[in-house]
Formats: sequence, C-alpha cells, structure tokens
Amino acid sequence: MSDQAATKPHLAPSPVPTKKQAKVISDGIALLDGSTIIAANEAFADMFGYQDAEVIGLELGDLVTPESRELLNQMLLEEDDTPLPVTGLRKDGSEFPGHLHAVMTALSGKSERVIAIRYITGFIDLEKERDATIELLRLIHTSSDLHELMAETTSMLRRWSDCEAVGIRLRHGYDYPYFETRGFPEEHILLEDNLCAVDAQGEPILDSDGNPLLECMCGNVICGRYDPNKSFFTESGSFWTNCTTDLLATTTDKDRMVRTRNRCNGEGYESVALIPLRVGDQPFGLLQFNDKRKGRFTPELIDQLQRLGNSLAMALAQREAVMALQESEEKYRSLVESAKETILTTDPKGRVASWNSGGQAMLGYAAEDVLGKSLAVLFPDNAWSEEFQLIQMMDQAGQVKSHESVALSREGMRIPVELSISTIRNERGGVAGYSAIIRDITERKQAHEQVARAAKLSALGHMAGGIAHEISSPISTILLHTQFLLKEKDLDDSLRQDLERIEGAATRTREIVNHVLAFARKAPAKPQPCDVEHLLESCLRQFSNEIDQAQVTIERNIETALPILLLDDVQIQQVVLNLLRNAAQAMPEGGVLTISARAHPEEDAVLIQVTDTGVGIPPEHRKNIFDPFFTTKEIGEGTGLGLSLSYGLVEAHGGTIEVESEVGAGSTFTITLPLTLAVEHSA
Amino acid sequence: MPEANILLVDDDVDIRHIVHRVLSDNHRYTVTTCKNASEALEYLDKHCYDLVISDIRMPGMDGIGLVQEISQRCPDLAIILIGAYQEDMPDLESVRQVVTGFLPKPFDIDELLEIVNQILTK
Repeated sequence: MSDQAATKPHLAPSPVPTKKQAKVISDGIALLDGSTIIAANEAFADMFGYQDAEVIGLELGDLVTPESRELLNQMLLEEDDTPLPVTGLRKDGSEFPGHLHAVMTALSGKSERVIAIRYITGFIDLEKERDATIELLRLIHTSSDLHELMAETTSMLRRWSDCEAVGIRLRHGYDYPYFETRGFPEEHILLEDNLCAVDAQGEPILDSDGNPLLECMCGNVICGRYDPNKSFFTESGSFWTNCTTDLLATTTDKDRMVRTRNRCNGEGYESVALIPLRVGDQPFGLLQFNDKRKGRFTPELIDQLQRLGNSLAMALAQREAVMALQESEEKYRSLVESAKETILTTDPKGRVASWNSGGQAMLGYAAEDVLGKSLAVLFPDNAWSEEFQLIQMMDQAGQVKSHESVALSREGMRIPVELSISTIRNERGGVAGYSAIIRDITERKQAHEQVARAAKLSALGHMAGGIAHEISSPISTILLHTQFLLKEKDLDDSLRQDLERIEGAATRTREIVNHVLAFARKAPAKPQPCDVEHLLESCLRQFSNEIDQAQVTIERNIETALPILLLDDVQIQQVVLNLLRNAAQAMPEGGVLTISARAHPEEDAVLIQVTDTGVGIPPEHRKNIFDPFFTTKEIGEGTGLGLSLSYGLVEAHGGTIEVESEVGAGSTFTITLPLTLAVEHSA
Repeated sequence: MPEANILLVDDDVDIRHIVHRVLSDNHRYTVTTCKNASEALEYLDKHCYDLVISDIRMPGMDGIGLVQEISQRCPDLAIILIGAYQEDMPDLESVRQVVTGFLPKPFDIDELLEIVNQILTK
C-alpha cells in the first residue's frame, strides 16, 4: 500500500510538476502552515477545480466536505501520517473521493512546522480492489444462475463505485440490451435497451462490415470503435467523462465517433463511464456507471473498473465455454442414446464401459447387464476368439472398419451384425479404451440374399436359355424325322412303337426347351389390358379337361369387378395352369382345389390364390421350390421348371409368388400382381 | 394344295434334309435348299419363288437381313422365319411388316405343314 508513503516528495516552494507528470502521478501536493495552504502544485489546484494561485490562502478544511473536516482536523492535530480517506470538495461544489496523506517536514531551519500535504486522488487502494475482485470471483463461481450473478455483481459494483446507477449490457442475439441494472429509471432502460437500429421489416441495419450497427457511445465501446488519443477514451477502449455537458459542448459527433443519442446527458447524468466486457476480440457487453454528480471518476478508478470488467468478462467467457461444452456433450449423448445401433465403449481390456439404449433394443441387454463384462458375452463362444483377434487385427489407425459376425442376444437369438471398432486414445497417445458400433444387418443380409438369388436365377436362366437355343434345331430334326418316318404305312408294330417312344421323348424335350426359353425371357412379350376374371375362367376351362372331376373338386372364389391389369395373358395363364396342375398333383387321392381372386386394398394389387388340400410342402423344401429343375416328382412326371418359370414370369410383371404350406394339410400359392405394372426385365 | 416353289434357307444340314422331305412329300411343293443368305439371294436373282422359309440365326447375313433384302427385291414374296422365340424377338420387330409368318423352334411336322399351307393357300 504505501509506496507513496515511503517516498518523500522532493519539494520546492513552487514545485510545479509538468502537466504530464501531474497526470501520471496524480498527486496533488500542498504545503500547509497550520491548516492554511501556502503553496501547492498544479495537480492539487486542478484536482479541486481551481486555477493555480487560487488555492493559496485557502483552508484545507474548505477543500473537504463537512463530514471529512472533523477527521481532517484530528489528523492535523495528532500529526497522524496514516492516509486518511476524505471526500474532497471542488470549487464548483462537486465532490470526489481521495486520500489525504500528511508528511511532516521542516523548512529551511525554521522552527515552524510545515505540513506538506500530499493529496492523492484516486489513491490506488490495492487492497480494496483485491477485496472487490475476490468478491466478484466468488460471486462468479458460486452463482449457478447468470441472472443471480449479474444482480449481485451490479449491486456490488454500485456499492463499490458509489455511482447512482450501474448497468450491465450483455449480448443477446445481435444486440446488447441491459441484462441487469440498479438505479436507472424504467424509462431510461426502455428507451436505451436496444443499441441496434432496425429497419421497417424489423431487420437490423448493418454497418460497412455487414455486422449489425450498434449505436451510441455504448455501441462504440462494445464494438471497439475508439480513438485512444482522445481524453475520453482509455487505451483499452473504455469511455468516461465527468461532465457530459462539457463533453457535448466541446466535441463533435466525429470526435466521439458516432451520432450519440445524448440521452444520458438529457436525463442529467454528468459522470458516465462505459467499460467494455471483452475477451480478446470477442465482445460480451459492457458495464455502465452513471451519476448525476460531476467528477465521480478518476483515471485510477477507471483502471480498476477495467480490471474488474476483465475479470467479469473472463468469467462470462468461461461460462459460455462450459455451457457450449455441456450442450455439445448433451447433443452427443442424445445422439448416442437415440441411435438404433448399439454404441458402446470398453476399457483397454475390452470390458464394457458404456452402453446405449440402442444396445438394449437390439440385443436385449440393459447397461447394468453388460457393464464391466467383456465383449465376449455378446458373441457366441466359438466367435469369441475371433472378436478378440479383432483387437489385434486393427489397422494402423487402430480401427476395424467393418467386420461381419453373429451376435447373441439375451434371449439367445442369433443376429447377423456388422461391427466397427475404434481405438480411444489418451493425451499421451496410449490406449484409453475402445469404442464400438454394432449394426443389425439382418435386413441387409436378406436383401443381399434376394439379390443373390435373383442373380443366380438370372445366370441359370441365361445359361439354360443358351443351351435351349442351341438344342432347338437338333430337337426339331429328331422330331421331324421321327414323325416323318411314322407316316410310313408299312411299319411293323415294334418299329412303330420304338419310333413313337422317340417321338415322345423328343416332344418332352421340346417342352423343356420351350419352358426354359420362356424362363430366360427378358420382358413380357405383349402386355395387354386383361380381365383377370376371364383369364382365370379360361384357365379353369382348360384345366377341367385335364383332370378327373370326380376326384378333384374345384371351388371358385373369384371377385367380380376386379381391376383391369396390364399383362401378358398367355404367360399369366401359363403360371395359373402351372399352379393348378401342381395343386392337382399334390392330391393324388383327390381333394378340394380352391381358386380365388380379389383386389388388395392397400397394396394396389390383385391377389390370385390357388389352395389345395394335398400333401403339403415340407419346410426344408420350401425355400427351394422356385429353383429351376427342382422337383420332388418322379422322372418324366414333370420338368421341375414349372414353378421357377412361373416365378420368373410373375416377377417380370412386377409381382410376386409366395407359398404357405402345412405338411398333410395342403398348400396355398399366392400371386400378387400390381395394378401399376412396372414391366421390367427379370430373371 | 397349290403348287408352289419354296426356297429353304438354313445352315443346319439335318433341318434342310428333313424339311425338304416333309414339304416335298406331297409332290406339289418344289423345295430348293441353300445354306446361307448370300446363296439364297443368288437363287432369288435367278428364279421365282412363292415362299421363302429361312432360319434367323445363320453365319453371315442373318434371317433378318435376308428379309430386308428380299423386301427390296421382291416385295410380294411370302417369307416365313424360323427362330427361337425369345432371343430373336427384338430383331423381329423391325421386319414385322414384311414377314408373313413365324415358326418357333423346335417345331414338329404338323406345325410346319400348317403354317406353310396356310400361307400358300392365300
């Protein structure tokens, strides 16, 4: 505290420090005789608002407020040299705080005692500032709520600065309205709240940089628009004045760098200080100190306020960063929690450290079931070492990009999954653990299988088509020759029989060739508008000729007024006949065959169903029945091409064939034909 | 059955043999065979025919090309194309107007005779 106390002022009767020095030192120094001023420096005179000579002859007591006089007199009496806080009284009646520090000195040999008074205004009470800073920091770190913090801070600043009105502006959107005030009238707050002017549409008016234009001196301070050479700006961009009236009178808008609203002056505020709250070049707002009395501020006070402002700004920046981090963490957490995938982390040994709700949904394990357990619990035994190898298998980046495996759910279901693993590194680059994402790829696998099956069928069909094409000529030759020979009149019986067998075989071969060629077909030959009812009736007519009506009962359940479909009726008839024949063959002892057709309301399609009460299809065969050449019939009883051909023909129409079956009870084949026919190529 | 001159074009020797026999059997059709399109065109230049029966897939000019040539030289000549239904279909579109008949293979005697008689009766 007492650097100044330690140095004895080097006094001459008229010391006259230069103006610059006076400004820097801010010491007002006067020589007293008793309690009368006999000499003083310019700073002293300045301080009290007098011209140099005017102070000579004044009583020191006249220069302080009545409240301070008693203390002053006591100090002089007791020759107490501890600094005394007083309230100085200026010539114009304004007051200011300061510290009086009396130093006893003797003048050139005379026995008169002269008191040199070093009047230091704005004595930098470092302890007081330290206390204020501590209180501010404490407030910052104990207030969880920004409003609470600002309210307490504003009150504290008001107390501390002894200003009538204190306000804090903080950023909100693109403007900096008052966040908290103490001592400002409602009207002021209302009128001054917005610094940013808006246009007719309510959009902010922009400055030349394209940023919202903040008006008034507050705007200057916040935006960092200041001229450090001007006396009302500090080096770091604060604005302060002890007399707004004088300021307005002696400076122009240009000097002040903006068109000021002058409201503060209009409301009678003479002492105004605006301290920016800023970290680096990031503005947060400002502190405003207004007082109707002139002369409330000194450069030292402003410095202190600036330092307090910096502490506050840093605290605000810190809060913002923490909140942003929390928000980001929250976002990440909700991202992880809302994910369908299983997202988990493990320690360096592969034991589960975190587990999301996606994991619970997919695999049936809640977090508490798996925490601390090794990943092996998710993968069936024989795959465990594989997963463990995964950790060894990670590439140089410490990642397994994707690895297909089968996970075991809590209920024991095997789920095809894709596993991605990444290494989590600590700051030193060592392994802190692993993070893994497990995706359920059941659907993907099914889709792949479908594509694979379609590709297989397509390849088979293509090859078969090639073969069929090649053999069609030789078949014709065999058939034609045999038939020609059979026209001979004098064939003996056994020769005739032999030839007939050959003809039969060739005809069957031809059937196969035709089936295969049709199967390899790329597009329906002639899609035409078709009445499904007619088509089915036509099939049934032909079919009835083929079967023994005594054994197989045909039931019809065909809706009328079915939508007209675009299809190749020859092909679809082929498909339906194929199903009808299969159904009959499934019931060698007879039974009931039901054929039905109805419009499917949601699917925009027509469903045709053929149901039999026959032997049914065993589950192990069910997925093969549409494969080409797959047949459970005896040799010669069928080509095994019927269903695969039917499948291909229906697919070509954009439809599907499905089967439901129960061994011993029967089967139902369902053809779904869409109304909007996508006539594309298929198998 | 009318008398008629038929030109048969096919690169398969067995097909030529049996189709020739089947069609000649009635003794009213006279059948000339050749093994590719360029031979066929030579014959067509020199003689008159009532019907051309041609395979589609042949080395050199195929049946479609032959049809196009014929339609320029003898626009009224009846033509039957023999082919595997599906693979040849797209090509057929271009000559649909000109081709009189299509015989998918493998075919038997009845199918062959039916289509030939039908066309020649007109």
